[in-house]
Amino acid sequence: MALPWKAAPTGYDEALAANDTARGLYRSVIETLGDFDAADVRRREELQEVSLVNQGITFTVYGEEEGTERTFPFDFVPRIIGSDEWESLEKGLVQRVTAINLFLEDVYGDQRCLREGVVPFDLVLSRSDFRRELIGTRPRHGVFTHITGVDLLRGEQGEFLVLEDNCRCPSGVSYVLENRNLLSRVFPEIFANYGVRPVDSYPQMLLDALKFSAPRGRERPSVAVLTPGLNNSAYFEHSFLAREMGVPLVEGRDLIVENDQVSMRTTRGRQRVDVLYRRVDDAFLDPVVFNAGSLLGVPGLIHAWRAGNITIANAPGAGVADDKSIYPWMPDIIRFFLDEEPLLAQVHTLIGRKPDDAAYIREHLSELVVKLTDGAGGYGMLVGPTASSAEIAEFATVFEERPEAYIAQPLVEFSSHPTWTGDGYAPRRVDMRPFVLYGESIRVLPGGLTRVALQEGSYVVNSSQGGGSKDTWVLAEELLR
Amino acid sequence: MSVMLSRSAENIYWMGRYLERGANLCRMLQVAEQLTVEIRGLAPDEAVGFWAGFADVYPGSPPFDEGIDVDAARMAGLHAWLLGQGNVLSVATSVHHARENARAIREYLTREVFEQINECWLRLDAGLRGEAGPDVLLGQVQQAIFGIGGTISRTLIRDEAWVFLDVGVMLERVYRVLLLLRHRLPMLMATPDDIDIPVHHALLRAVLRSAGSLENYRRVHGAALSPRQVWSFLFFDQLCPHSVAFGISNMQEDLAGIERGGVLTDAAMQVGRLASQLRYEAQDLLGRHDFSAVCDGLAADVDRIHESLTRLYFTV
Repeated sequence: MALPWKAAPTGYDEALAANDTARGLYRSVIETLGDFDAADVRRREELQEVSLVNQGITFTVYGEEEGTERTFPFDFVPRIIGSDEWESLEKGLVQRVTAINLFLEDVYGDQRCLREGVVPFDLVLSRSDFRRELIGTRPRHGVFTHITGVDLLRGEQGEFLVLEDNCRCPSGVSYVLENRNLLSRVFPEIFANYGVRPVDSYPQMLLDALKFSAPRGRERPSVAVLTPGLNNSAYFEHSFLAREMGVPLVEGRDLIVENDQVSMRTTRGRQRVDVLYRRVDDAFLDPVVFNAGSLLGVPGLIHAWRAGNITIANAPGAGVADDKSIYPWMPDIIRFFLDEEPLLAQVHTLIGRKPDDAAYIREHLSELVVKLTDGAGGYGMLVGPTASSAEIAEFATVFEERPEAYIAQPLVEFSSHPTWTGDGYAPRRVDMRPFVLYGESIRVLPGGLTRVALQEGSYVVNSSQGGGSKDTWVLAEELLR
Repeated sequence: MSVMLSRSAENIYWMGRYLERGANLCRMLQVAEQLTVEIRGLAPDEAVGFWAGFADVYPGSPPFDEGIDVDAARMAGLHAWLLGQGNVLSVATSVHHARENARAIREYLTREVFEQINECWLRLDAGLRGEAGPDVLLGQVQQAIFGIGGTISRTLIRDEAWVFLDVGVMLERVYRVLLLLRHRLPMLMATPDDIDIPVHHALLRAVLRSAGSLENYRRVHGAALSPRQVWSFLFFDQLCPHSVAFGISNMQEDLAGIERGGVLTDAAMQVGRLASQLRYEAQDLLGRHDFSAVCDGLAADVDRIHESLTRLYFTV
């Protein structure tokens, strides 16, 4: 018996119209899935899970028994984006990443946007991710964020909104590739009537971008991926990307800096590294400049970078651009540097460091989503509308200690997408992280990481807090039939 | 990938060693199981002694309780050596380490190799959580480890990583064969008048099977079994994949492939000396009566090769 599909009761449902009928792009996939009964689906789901476990496609969970590995739950109902919509989204992403890099070049250079009051001087300089040590440093081609992950939501009319930018070490792209791989093996039938743009060229795109960023004069640059090590939550991804690009995966202890040149310790002695795709936070990169206690970093690395002998991607200091308190100024940053109107809208944001905004936040905690400006992973945040009064009271005390450390946004009733719940399909909220590469030009991977809040009614999509993921299809043309 | 990190070389070398160790242990456990069935009625003390003898081949493991009966010895042996309860030198620990090594060097492995190692570990993990008994698990894990070896052989490119993997496998194999012979053969060489021939032969077969070489031995020497013949075969046969000579000869070829600019390294010289000794001094060695000392000397040489490899390649 065909299983029922129900549209989301609130917010925008990406696949179903209000009368529970499939939207145009989704007709074929819903029709095909309608041929499977619950037992069929469960059997295939088990195959999916076994495949993820056997392949070791896992992330490491912190705060539990050391080294606990978990699979990132995968929901097989794909998210579909039409070619026209993707094209305009792509333009918006290119615009945003261009502006982010001009902003970074400026704040570590002439600081024109600060002097002209586009962004408050003291705001930028007080950010923990603004690295004073790096003022005057310009990376090759002026590119700071070779890889950017931009988190998007769909608003109540289905329009894309930027929720935040990830300019340091955005993760999740390995799941984009593995999800496609998995879906095509477990549910090959649902691809039948769609021209889905492939995502497996990402490693080559990434390698091209990294090589293009190599220091001047390096004809065949050597590239390596820097990981904190096996116990890092995203270790699978680090290893995946190194393997797919065919480059070494190094840890800090594998590298040595001598005379401002960075080398790897290899079986044939020391070999120069030209480009380091680091998946280690700034603070741990170099104990000489940043966190002196870091065992993950490489002493002398930043000096070698400043001397122009190595490219670090993303560049140290890039994190200031994705600080949540810089985010509200992003439309002005785009206008200032590009003299264009922003193509992508973003969520209205209140800033705790502004006394008026802080007062508003204080009085409306139960209506707002309040986040730490340097937080990530869904930690240190309050989702007011779903929090209990005790949680709100507790958060109010914490907020009062450092209001300047927070921003707040109205709860966006972001879009839902049909998702398998174990015995049927139900709407669950989704976000999306497309990956943008900045090499010789700016290129966007046609797809992205769709994260889904698996709990009914939940707004939290983070993998560490019960989220899952979906395959994201960008169509080459609207539909084959 | 044209360069190999020292840390990666060390990881793949140890992955080879741990996988080989797991395979050796599984085989020895299978042999002990079978020997227990064969001789428990004839010589129960010998059967218990065989289980207890694991600790000689894997020095550093906890000693076996004395005075236990055959069934208790069997269960204690399976739990200790397969699942590693109170024993860090077990199949479970070896496969766990191999998997950690594999995770650290996944970019050097094919998807198939990693998946097989991971699946093998997941089986053992289920055993550790009590979801499968050791007697059922043993056969499954042994098959899984064989599967890993086959997948490695069929899917990995023969580059420098392969060399370090193979050196690890061979070095572990040679070392354990030497310890196996050192501790199992001497008592079989001292043949008292009242020897129980069926038990004696069962024990000799068990030594050959423990070294994965019973059928190969029979193809060369037929059914005739003698301790000295077994010694000769497991030391000097150039074609038997578990003989000391075969392992050393493979390591010699492996190391020749990674010499730096044609310069003979310490490790290559040590391996070369051993290979020559096994090839040209076989009769002298076989004539010696201090068999245990011969084994100890060779095992110490193998230890030195490991140290040289570590110094040369893993701690650059």
